[in-house]
Amino acid sequence: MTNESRPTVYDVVIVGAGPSGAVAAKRLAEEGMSVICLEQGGYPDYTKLRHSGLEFELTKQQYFAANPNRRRAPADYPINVSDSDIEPLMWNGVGGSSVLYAAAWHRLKPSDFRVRTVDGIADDWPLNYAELEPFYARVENDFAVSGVGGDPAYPPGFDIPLPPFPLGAMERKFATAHDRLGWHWWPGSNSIATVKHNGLLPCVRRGACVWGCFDGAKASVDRTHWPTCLKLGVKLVQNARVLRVETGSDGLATGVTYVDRETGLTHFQPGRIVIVSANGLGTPRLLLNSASNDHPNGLANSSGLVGKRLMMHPYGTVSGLFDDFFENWQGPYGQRAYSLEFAETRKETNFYRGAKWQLMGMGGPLASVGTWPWGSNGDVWGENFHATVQKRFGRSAYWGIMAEDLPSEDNMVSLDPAVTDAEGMSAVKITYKASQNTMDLLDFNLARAAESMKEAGAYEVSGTPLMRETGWHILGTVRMGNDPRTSVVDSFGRSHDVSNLFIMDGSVMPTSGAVNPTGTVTALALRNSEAIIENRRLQPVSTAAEALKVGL
Amino acid sequence: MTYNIDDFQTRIAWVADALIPSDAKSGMPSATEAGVPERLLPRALKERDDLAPSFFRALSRLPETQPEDPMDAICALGADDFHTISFLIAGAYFLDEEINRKLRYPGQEALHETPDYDEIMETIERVQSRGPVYVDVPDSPESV
Ligand SMILES: Cc1cc2nc3c(=O)[nH]c(=O)nc-3n(C[C@H](O)[C@H](O)[C@H](O)COP(=O)(O)OP(=O)(O)OC[C@H]3O[C@@H](n4cnc5c(N)ncnc54)[C@H](O)[C@@H]3O)c2cc1C
Ligand code: SF4
Repeated sequence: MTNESRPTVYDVVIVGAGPSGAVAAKRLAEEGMSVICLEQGGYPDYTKLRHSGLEFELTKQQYFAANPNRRRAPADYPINVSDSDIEPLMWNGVGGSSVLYAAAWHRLKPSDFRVRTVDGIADDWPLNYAELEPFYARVENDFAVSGVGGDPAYPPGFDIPLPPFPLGAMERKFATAHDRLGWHWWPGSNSIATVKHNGLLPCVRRGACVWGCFDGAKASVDRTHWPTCLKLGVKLVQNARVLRVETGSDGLATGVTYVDRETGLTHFQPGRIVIVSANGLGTPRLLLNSASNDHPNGLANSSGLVGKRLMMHPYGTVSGLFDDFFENWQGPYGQRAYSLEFAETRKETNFYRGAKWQLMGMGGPLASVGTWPWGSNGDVWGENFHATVQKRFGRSAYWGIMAEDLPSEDNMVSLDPAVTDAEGMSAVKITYKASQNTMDLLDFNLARAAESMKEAGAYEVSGTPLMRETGWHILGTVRMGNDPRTSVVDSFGRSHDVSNLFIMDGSVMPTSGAVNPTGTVTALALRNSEAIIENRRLQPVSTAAEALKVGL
Repeated sequence: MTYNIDDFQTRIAWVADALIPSDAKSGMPSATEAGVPERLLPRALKERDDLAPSFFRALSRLPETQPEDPMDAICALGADDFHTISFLIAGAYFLDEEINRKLRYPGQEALHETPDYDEIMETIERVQSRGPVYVDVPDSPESV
């Protein structure tokens, strides 16, 4: 039941306070638009992280676990993963998954926007690298990206605003190994401040990044964007679970219905424009849950593609053991280095596209007897215990292999009406199978990464081809394109069906690239926000009776 | 239901040493020698009070005194209980400062190092000299 008669009508209602919602909120508010953001969770409580003592490893997963099905915090919603090879990971609260992200920062390459043209498969994007480039540069400054510019894996002009981290013994091993192999290698680029920047402090390298950065150096938008947004007058409503995007009789969006999770009361929040930034799972969930008589298959879904083409960057690992003792447990955690040597389609292989490799920290002694990145830990106990710790702790490294995922309509997000969250909203079910292309791609890259490990001096190498709890990047489920029959939104995130409804998050990506997506997702959000500002006088808004009733 | 750690001390001792025995070669103590049952595990359980109920529930399914093959008995609890027990025992063991000193683990330190920019430049110049590694497509910046 809606129990509010005349709430304020905002120019823009945003669903989700993660990076995409925050970038849009900030830019639109800077132009004087009135903005309200509804977020199903609250602010992260970083004091719950025991980041500096020996308790760190034991406690890091307690509050800041990345898998919502394990975490089961009140803001989370159940995700049925019984038919999925990969489990999606996220943080539901102010800051979104940037609270937990490793902050490895990338742009897509030019060919990622042209997969059909280059390889004859999947799709081209309705925009290209050159069009997105200026927006990449702007978000890279806002997100305090540190590293080294001039990477030959990108066209000239990818400058990095903040200085890099020092090279350590681990990075040096691989730099010289790749010199000998003639392969690409580059110092890590991360949205982690190395000097004071945009409200962030310089990173002290404690390596808590993926469990929440207590030290205030990682660019999570609760730190980089929300303080400015609030100063600009954006209203942020926490613990507001949005159930539906509502439309009027003219077919335009009138606002959203949400439940205040603290009071249990349902409200209607009207707005002239609605932006959904709820991520590749939350966004299709909300659109499908917004079905009505006028659009029985879900809102904005005349193409039938809402929820389809889920991509999650299948991930494998290659670990190596070394004789010498070197620091491998500090941050950033975050990539220390990466290789894009095998990121493009190659003539000699039996698969399309490629992978990014990232060189990551290994953690402390407790991690050395865990499953990550080793695959399993069944045989490390008892008489093997000390030998395992001696071999791994301070004497190991791993390449994370992030595979480009190709879109398939069989991989999808759907509603799971049998299960609801605490507010009665349908949960989601994901159906996802790694394709033969993915398995071949991973096999090839694991074999090459094993060569890299050996060249770097590893005396023993092991690999795990497809890790299950690695769905950090949830992409493709509300794809953009120029043709309303084959896409849900246009190249500016505007719904083909509902012209005052915008989608801004990774769900719009027609293909996934092989790199971490937040640079692209936020550059798109900024580009789309600029388009909204430019077109604001021409923007259709609902004049339907439902909207008039609440003062539109 | 609340559990009292004192009621489980016998079980904890054999379980902990089955998972972490002593090792003469590396000079590392067993879990009980390191003080897991009485000193470190209570600390670990306080830190991870969320795991404590499942830890004690799993322990209560094990025999009071050490069976013939202790590892088999712990494994027979199933993957989830095995994980809870082994994670907490190892987590407690690695709370000990002396053990970390022996492993040369200083904990997650706050580091404030300045990069050696000359070294970084020399390293990347070698990579740059090998040429571009991206595919140029018709609408990449050069050709737009
Ligand atoms: C552990 C982890 C590591 C990662 N590492 C990297 C990395 O190294 N580099 C990288 O580029 N990316 C990384 N990512 C991905 C990165 O976090 C995402 O790309 C980024 O957060 C996407 O931003 P977003 O705003 O589009 O979505 P999100 O950050 O997911 O934010 C969506 C927000 O919407 C809210 N929401 C959803 N549904 C509703 C609803 N119905 N009502 C109200 N609110 C709702 C959610 O609570 C959430 O706060 C990682 C992610 C995880 C989980
Ligand atoms: S390593 Fe840096 S970014 Fe990561 S948690 Fe520590 S201070 Fe934050």
